[in-house]
Amino acid sequence: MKNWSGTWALFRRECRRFLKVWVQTLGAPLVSALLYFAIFGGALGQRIGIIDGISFLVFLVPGLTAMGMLQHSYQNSSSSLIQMKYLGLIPADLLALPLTALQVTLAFMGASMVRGVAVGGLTLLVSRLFVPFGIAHPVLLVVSACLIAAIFGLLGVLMGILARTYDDISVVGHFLLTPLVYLGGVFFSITMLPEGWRLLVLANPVFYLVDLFRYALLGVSQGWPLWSLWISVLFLCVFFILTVQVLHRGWRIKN
Amino acid sequence: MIQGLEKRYKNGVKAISGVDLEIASGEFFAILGPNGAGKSTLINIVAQVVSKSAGTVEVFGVSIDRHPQEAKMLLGFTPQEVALDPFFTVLEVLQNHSGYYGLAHNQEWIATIMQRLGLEACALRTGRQLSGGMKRRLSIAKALVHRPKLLILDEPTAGVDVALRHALWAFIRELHALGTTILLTTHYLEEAQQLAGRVAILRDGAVVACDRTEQLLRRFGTRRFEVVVTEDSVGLPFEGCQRSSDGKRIVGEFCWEQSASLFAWLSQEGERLEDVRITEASLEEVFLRLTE
Repeated sequence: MKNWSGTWALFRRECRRFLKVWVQTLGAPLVSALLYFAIFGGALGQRIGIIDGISFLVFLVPGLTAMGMLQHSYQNSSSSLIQMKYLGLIPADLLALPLTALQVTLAFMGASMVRGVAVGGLTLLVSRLFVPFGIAHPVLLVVSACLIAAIFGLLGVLMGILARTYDDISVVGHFLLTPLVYLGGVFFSITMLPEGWRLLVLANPVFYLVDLFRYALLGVSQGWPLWSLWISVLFLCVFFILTVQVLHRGWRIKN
Repeated sequence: MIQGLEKRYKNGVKAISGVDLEIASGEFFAILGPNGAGKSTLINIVAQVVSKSAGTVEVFGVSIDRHPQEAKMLLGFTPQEVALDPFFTVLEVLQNHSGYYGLAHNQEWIATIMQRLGLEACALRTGRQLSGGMKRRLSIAKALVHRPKLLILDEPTAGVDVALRHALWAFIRELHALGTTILLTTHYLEEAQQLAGRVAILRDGAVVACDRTEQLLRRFGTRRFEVVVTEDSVGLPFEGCQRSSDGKRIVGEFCWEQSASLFAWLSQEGERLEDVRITEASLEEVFLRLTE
């Protein structure tokens, strides 16, 4: 039995959920991006100068955009599921629905992608007001944005299922995601780092996502764009299969 | 159809042990039992919100193991705990729920459900703005939104006022008359007695009795009788009855098998009888007898 229209309904519910509180879900990341531009770009950028042949402010645009996308796609699915757990909605509004684990995964991942890509698009639009830049590879830009949002949307679903409390979600956010993002080449070029740190950054999967997105937007890369693309696709496949399996088994949500 | 159903929770508690039940299409079936007897676990397994440890469950012949989605499509489920999404209005909740079952254009039926359950006035209120009774109504409305062939109600009238209880049962009776199978758990035994065609009584995760309501009352129920007689009446219908000190009043309890003796004695007393009162057996008393 397919019931794809049921999947669409769940996807739509998850999209409507974040759109109902758009000031918080779409407005807040814009304010954050503006603050980053003001501090890093305005105050510190001139001292940093040119990176890979482009100004620091331009270098910062894809990094900040990617950061907003991955944080918000993660938050969308993780907060929705943990909230459902707290409110007791899991039985009637998730487990009893006539949808397969694959369909539930697609619906939650899809909604996270919509929020992540919306945050990314808005950040790019606002950035364009401050900094002049073009789009080097438009198709790859869309593909890489979707990959980032999908991977972190899936990570959010996994965390939402596995977490018992809001604290669990924020612990992963603060102690795993934030270090990965901050050491993922959002604010700096790896050419600026000493050798030891450079290896650490190269071992960070977020670096490849950010680098792919930067290459798609500006045409400059600090790694190997094709390599980054395959690593991202591999991550997407692994997280997708893992999420479907966890949902199918009902781990932590079905007694 | 439920066969050999078992449920053991991770903490080792055995909630269901070897339950076999066959509920016919179109039945109004009630599951009764004290707290912790396994009623909710049983119907949660049928609704697939709790996994089973062993056994098989089929909904209108559709196995929940082989075709879980098809089985879910056939049933509507109202959990015992009322939980509502605070982001959405009553109307949006019902539209969303309709969508999960692939029903994009279901406005007419949604309007009917809202009208019958008294939800019209709060169609645009969110879950946060609803009273406890309204939340319960919405929870039931969600289960009905796709016109399920089987409606599972886990204590639907707990904490509900009399007016809603009447309106709800009138609506459920109507749905039942139109062919919907109803599976109900309730603590209000008079509700089960009035509504259900058949009743299963659970104790410690096992079925201790399952029969037509009147058969259960006949088999396990005791009736009370009170007879007022003239002064010249002597004797008692059977052992265990008591005669008042002035000899004019005889009271006692009798089970179905003793009714012939009672009526034979009453007939024999003839003109010495002044009044006879018999109180019918109640499901509550049967329930207490079987579960204590």
